[in-house]
Amino acid sequence: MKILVEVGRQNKMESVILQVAELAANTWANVTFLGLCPSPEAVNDTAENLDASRSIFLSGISDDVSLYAAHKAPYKLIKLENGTWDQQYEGSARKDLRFRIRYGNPGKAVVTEAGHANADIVVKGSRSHQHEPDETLKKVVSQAPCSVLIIREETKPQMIVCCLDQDTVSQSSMELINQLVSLYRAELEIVGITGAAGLSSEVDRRMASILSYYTDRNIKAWVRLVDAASLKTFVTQTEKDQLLALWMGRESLLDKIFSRQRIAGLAANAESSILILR
Amino acid sequence: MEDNQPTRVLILDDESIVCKRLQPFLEKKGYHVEAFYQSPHALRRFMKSPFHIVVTDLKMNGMDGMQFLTEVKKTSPETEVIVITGFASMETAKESFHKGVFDFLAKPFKPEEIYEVIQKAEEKIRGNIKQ
Repeated sequence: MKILVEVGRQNKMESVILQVAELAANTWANVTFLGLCPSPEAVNDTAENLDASRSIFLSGISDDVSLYAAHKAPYKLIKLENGTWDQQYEGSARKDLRFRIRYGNPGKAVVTEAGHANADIVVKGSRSHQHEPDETLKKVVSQAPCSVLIIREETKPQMIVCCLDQDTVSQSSMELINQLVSLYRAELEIVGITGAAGLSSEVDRRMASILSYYTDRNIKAWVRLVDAASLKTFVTQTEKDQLLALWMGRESLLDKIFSRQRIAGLAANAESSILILR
Repeated sequence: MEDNQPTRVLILDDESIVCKRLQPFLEKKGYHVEAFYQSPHALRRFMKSPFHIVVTDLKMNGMDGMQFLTEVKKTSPETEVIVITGFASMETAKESFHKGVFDFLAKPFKPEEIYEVIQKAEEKIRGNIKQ
């Protein structure tokens, strides 16, 4: 698995980085930290911020299998083209831990790096009740080529609420949920969205297969039906200790009700962490 | 491993979609691949004729991936084993490491990612033989 972590300009969001560390230690993931640089002159400050993030990340990894190179040696900044720098540390280990700095439009930088790193998931920290959905979040949610996990700072989900209204669910999105169930030791609620004609038989079958997939593996999971008319209220009322996972395919009603732009607004205001599945 | 013979890869995963996705991908890369959904069948085949590389899921009914890894290493210590798992945990990663796993990959992964790992395993096997 390949994880891309966006490190904000202003703060390091320690609890978010520690959750990423736990996920990485579980999954032996290749991890790239991306520092967003407001101007070329600020590259050294961004590098220091990334360096501090690295320390937090490594403090969350018990390294008896030499998973990531953990030397304390100073880093080197290597300037690449197009406003990009590699922040390199000495040493090699079983898995990649990379640090990259990009200057320019932050949202575009995250989307570009997600493609470059061939990431399976982009992780972004976010505080609840921001006045405005941040522009980076809008861009990442709408354009990232992979799933996006928006972790609400200082929350650890106890339940993952997966909303499903179509039968085309990618294998990788199913697998991502498995890993998050393991990470958080969470229970799983699979929410089927019903239209005026009730639940479609395809979605019904898909939900049943997903449910048996999890129960066969001793995961506590159950299904629930929510009427499409009350979906928006249901989603916005998701609680702090839950992770809201949305399968947003082209056929999806969710995609119609919550355009990706609006998801950014939802993410800014919701109490829960949010996972956009691709 | 002889240079002119294709590397033999055994895939074991009770999720048929994984085998169906990986087998043709790896065959196109030139590997001889055999895929199994049940560990007893895979183990019987392995005992009959060991493979260079084994890719096994961890969580399966009956003999799980960790037991399969143990049996493979006991029968053929030079075989490199890559564990793939949908429900990864630090404990299982460490346990497989101590049992001699070559690498541990959590799902989801792209076929290119496992191909990179298989190439590294091949390099190690060829290096061992030359030594």
